[in-house]
Amino acid sequence: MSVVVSGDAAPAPIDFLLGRPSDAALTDQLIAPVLEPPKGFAPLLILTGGGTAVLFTVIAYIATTGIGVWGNNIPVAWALGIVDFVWWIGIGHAGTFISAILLLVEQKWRTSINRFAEGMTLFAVVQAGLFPLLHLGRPWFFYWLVPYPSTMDLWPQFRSALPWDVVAVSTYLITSFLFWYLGLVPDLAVIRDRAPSLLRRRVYGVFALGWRGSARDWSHYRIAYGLLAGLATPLVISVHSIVSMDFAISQLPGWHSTIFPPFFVAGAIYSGFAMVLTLLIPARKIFHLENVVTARHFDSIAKMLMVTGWIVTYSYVIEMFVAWYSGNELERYVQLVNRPTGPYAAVFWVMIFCNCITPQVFWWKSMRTNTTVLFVAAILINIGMWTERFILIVTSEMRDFLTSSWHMYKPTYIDLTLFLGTISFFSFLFLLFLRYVPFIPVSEMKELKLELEHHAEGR
Amino acid sequence: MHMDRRAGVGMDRWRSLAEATGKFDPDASREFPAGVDQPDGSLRRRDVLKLLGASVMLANAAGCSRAPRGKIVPYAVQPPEVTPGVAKHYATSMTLGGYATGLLVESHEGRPTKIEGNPDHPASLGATGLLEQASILSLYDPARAQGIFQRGQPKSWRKLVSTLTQGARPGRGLEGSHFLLEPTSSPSVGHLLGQLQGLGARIHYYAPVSQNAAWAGTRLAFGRALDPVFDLRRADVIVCLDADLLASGPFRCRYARQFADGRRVRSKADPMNRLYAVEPVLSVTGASADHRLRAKARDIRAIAAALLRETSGNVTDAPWLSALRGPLSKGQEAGEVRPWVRAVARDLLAHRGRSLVAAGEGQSDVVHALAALLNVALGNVGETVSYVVPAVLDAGSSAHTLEPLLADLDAHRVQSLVILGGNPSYTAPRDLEFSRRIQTAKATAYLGMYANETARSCEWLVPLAHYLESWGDARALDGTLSIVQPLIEPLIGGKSPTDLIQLFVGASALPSYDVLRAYWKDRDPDLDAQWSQAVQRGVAAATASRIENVAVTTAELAKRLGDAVSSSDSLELVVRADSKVYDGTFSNNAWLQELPDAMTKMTWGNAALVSPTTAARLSLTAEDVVRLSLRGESLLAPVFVMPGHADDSIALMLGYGREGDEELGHVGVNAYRLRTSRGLAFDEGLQLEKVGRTEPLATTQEHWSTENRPVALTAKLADYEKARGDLVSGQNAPRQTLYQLTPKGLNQWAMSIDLNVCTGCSVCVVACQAENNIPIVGEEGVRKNREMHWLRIDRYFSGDERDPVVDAEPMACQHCEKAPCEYVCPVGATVHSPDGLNEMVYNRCVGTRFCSNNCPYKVRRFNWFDYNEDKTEPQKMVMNPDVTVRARGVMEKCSYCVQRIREAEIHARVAGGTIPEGGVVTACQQACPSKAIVFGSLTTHAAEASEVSKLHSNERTYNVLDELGTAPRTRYMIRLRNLNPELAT
Repeated sequence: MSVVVSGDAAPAPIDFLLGRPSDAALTDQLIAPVLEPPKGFAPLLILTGGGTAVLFTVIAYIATTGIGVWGNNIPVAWALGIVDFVWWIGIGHAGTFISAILLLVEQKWRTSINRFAEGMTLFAVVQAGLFPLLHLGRPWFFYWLVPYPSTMDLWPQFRSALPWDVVAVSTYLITSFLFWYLGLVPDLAVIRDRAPSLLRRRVYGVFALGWRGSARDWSHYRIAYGLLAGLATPLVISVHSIVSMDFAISQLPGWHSTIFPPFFVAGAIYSGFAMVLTLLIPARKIFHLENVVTARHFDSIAKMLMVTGWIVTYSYVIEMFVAWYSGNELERYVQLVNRPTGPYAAVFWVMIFCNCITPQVFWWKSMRTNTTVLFVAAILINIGMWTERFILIVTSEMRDFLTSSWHMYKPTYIDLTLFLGTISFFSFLFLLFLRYVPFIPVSEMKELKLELEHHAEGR
Repeated sequence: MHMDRRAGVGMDRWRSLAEATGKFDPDASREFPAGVDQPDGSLRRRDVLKLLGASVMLANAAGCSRAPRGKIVPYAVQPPEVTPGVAKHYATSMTLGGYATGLLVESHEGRPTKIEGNPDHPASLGATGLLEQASILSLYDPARAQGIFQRGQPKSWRKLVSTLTQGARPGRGLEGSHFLLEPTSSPSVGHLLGQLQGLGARIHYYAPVSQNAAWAGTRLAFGRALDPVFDLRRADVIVCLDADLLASGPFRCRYARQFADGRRVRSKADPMNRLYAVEPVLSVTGASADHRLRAKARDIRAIAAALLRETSGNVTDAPWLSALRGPLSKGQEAGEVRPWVRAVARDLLAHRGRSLVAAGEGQSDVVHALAALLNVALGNVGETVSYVVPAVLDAGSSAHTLEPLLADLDAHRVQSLVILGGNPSYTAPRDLEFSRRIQTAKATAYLGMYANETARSCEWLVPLAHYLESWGDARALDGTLSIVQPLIEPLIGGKSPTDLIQLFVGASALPSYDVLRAYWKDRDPDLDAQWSQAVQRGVAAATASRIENVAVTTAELAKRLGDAVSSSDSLELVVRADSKVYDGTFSNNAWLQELPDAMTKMTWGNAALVSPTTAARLSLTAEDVVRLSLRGESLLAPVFVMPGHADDSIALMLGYGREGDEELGHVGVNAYRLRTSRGLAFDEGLQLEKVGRTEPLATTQEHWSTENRPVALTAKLADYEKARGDLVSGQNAPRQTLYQLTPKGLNQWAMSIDLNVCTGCSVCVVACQAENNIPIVGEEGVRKNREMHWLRIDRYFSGDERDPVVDAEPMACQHCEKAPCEYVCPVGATVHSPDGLNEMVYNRCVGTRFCSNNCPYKVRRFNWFDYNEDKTEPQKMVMNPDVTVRARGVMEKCSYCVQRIREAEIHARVAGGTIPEGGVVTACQQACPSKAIVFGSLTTHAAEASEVSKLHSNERTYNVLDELGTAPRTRYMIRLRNLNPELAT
């Protein structure tokens, strides 16, 4: 817990809000990125915007020519497209975890980072949502997976996990968006009230939904925020559990495993926190937010990485143990032979290093608060989680029951361009977010400041 | 409120004096007087709109003139035999190497779409070979020569006629005219050729793969060229000396069926034949053999001699044997094969009169002679083998070699050379330099399907009519007269050999049908009287050749046997006709190019086949490119390491590395470049060196081991006979389940595949492709593992990699009662029908491919692209209209030929009955020469259980991947190996 120093003394090194800025100063600091963006923003925006344009071109190409432009084949019918989908959705989970679960358990370190993370979630889910659509052989009929009353009296086939996915991901998108937007409303009002130009005042005014900051507004806000947090909390568990069901309900050795839901959820939170770090560390530096995002935050995030990293490591070990213990020839082959020693063994060992070895540095406090170490580790963990999905999906498909259908898989340039395109698109959206919306919640930070002051005064 | 007084409403009130006295202008008091908003005089807005509307209406009225009168005529008075939507079958025959195989061709609305066997024809017995099944695609090949060309310039038929018959008047004589044909058995063409010869022309025959060695062999043994006709039904022991009896040769379908009939073990009491094979290259026959010996092609002669020596030891009543004993004892076979030879010889002797020795067309005449003598010595002649005069014209004469023609060419004695079919510029032995030497002929014409290598060397190119466009006749191996009936008018003005030959004979050019009728009217009035019946059946009854009595002549053979066969440790090159593109005839046939070779599983090209031992010795791995050099010529080829291949022998299949219009045939390497007259089938002294790069091969199966998974099960016959109950325990017991299914349909469709009978020949794969409009994905697609075949043959090796046991297992959708694919489809595009089919609903499929992931048999195929978008008009004609052509992005899989099932149901319903046993035949079942596939309904109204239900409960039956609980409707029967106890392995 934080060491609270009373009044005007120098702030202790581990705290949630360094210094004791006044409300006005805090507000100024937090909406400064919106009112006066840093230099070098436009070129970055153009770059990522260009990448987004490439993405949409590639999407058009895939939709008009066919999935054959990817490297997929029979037996490896799901490959990079689904790897990317699961990776992006997983990343999104940290945002909701921070926003919703940490709110309900009243963890103060969520306050400054929650909108940032929730924004990341939103844009990650947008990227993720592209893939199931693109992945379809006939994407223009995607709506047949949605339960709507059709004139043909046909509903989706509900025993399959894919319609569950549709429900899960769309619920996730909508809830995340609502939660994020609701939280934004008071801060948009702040910008509206301080907007330097009429245009901006009007635009922010529209999006601020007429927020007046009255007691009634705040009361409604609190209730709605709490409700949405309550709604979003189960989503953290359910969405990725359902995504894991895409694999778990099948019978492929290596997929057909009951550990998948908790395993995937842990992995999702793991990669999500890593992505939060990847985005937060540069943003903090560029926007000079060292006082609102402190070593304490990094410490907590690093501990989360440790916990989830260990759950992931445990899951690997359990899978391999149970495969051996079961005596089932096919399970043993996948877990003990094909993955560690097969054609993709290099990818497997990269995964082990990145996911299992990397977080071990966080046993040491100094490592947990060292932003360089954190940044490198976060990148490695994201790479590790991508390779994990790759190993999981591809190695099970490529060598299954009948050896006559064993075949190799090789991704194509379109696969890679698509993935990089989604990273570009994500960055583009995120940069727009950083540019136009206060990504550290102003009102919540002021509330936190008040709480910390009360706490310091012993009230 | 102002009331207008003029309206006469209400009380009369006025507001001013002026109003009361009537000098009031009521308009002035209005805020908006009438007409104040209209401009004076000019066109008002409303008027404009009125005019606009009126003029539009009037314009329409003016445009409504009546369409020009014309008449369309409905198909009201249609040909009586055509009912749109209902297919008709016509009998015809296809010839290969001159021998005919009878066929029934399915025709929709006047165009042929599918080839089936003709049950009445002895060479077919209802089945077809690979080449017959795929031949229909060649009919619609857009690369076919589209017209008559003279040195590339399009010319008319009349111009050709006038040029070629210049100076040739009736009776003038055809000195200097030479005709080169492929070997043919056609009596009517033979008659025309006789007329040509009478006028002084010379006739030659050439085909790279022929019976020349076989005829020379019987000449050595019996003094004249004869064709052996086997009866495998009577053979308990069969020895194949490099003979692929089951998958190549004029009677391959028949022999496959007869062989299978000897293996259809339904109970322990049923007998089973035994097959021995000696060969350099793993063939379909070798894979089915109970015992297989790998030997270089050149070593087979010594083995045959040793066999004869061993079996003749006890024979005392054959004087000819004593004459040969001396020469026979000279050649010594290698020590390690002696036990094998001895054991086989003992087995043959134990089955005198019930055994059979066959030699393959790739072996020398001496080996054929030895095989014939073995049959004589074992008393098989008249039992399992009979000899007939060859159906092919002029068999065994020098007319079947190119030397006489080339000699005349070099002496400038050739005025005109007409090449009718074949492709001698591509296929002639390299050292003969055919293309160069025919340039000395004054005029050259080529009747061929494509503008190919031969067309480039000739002045004229005339398009050859496909056999499905031609009238003609031919004979099967046993002499049975087969009719060739066209199913469609020549699509692009193709001509038959008859059409061209007639021009020279001087008669007025008759349609080939008339020529045919005229010949038979003259030759066989009985047949002429029964003509329509013969055409309808495709065969003329009782026209098989007479069986010849044979007497052994030994003089020539003794001398030849004495020839020292130099032993050689050098690498041997074996060249064979490819099982798919044959000698190059089918190079442009996409179905055959994409069909995985039965044993190597290669597509779209050939490779140098090497044994694992030799590959290790020469440090070769798969896909290494090597330079093969032989007798001064070299070429580059990729390597394929093949288990079961003979050591120190490199095999390269013919028919690839094409040039010319047959673009699909450009793949692979041209083995003809290494083929000289010294080694038409095999040669020695091959040099091999790596060039340091690799070339990817397109194979459909990379992994050949089952990894000890119980997938394609084999058992020893001895074990089967001793076993109690089911060989694979628990397979036929009732299954415990939480989820009881009670199918409600009248019929419950199921399939049984007997692995003891399946040879892995892959005809079923092509038949399925033809029936179900399965697209081609191309070489790139196969390399990415996207081939679309609904039915595939999995080929597994087990045991010693150098000398493995080969198991072939056809695998298609198993129509599982508890299908794993059904519950994972998000949109319900794959559902289960009440009659047991797993149905694929193409219209509903969105292409998530979850079903493929969950299918443990991996039998589902996905349309990664629109594979049909660049099909040309002729190519679309081969499509079966009864089967949907799938769009991009949908899954597809075997449907148990649901179109045939529903058609049978409709007929049954119209007739008011039920579908009888055998009423539905799937395409794969129908094409299979061995009849390994049995399809039918498990439930029946007949008194006796259906065949498929009997097979399903047979003790040899099992499910693939039974432990998954999918309860497949396709069940397999374990393969048995009838091992010789002396050779137990």
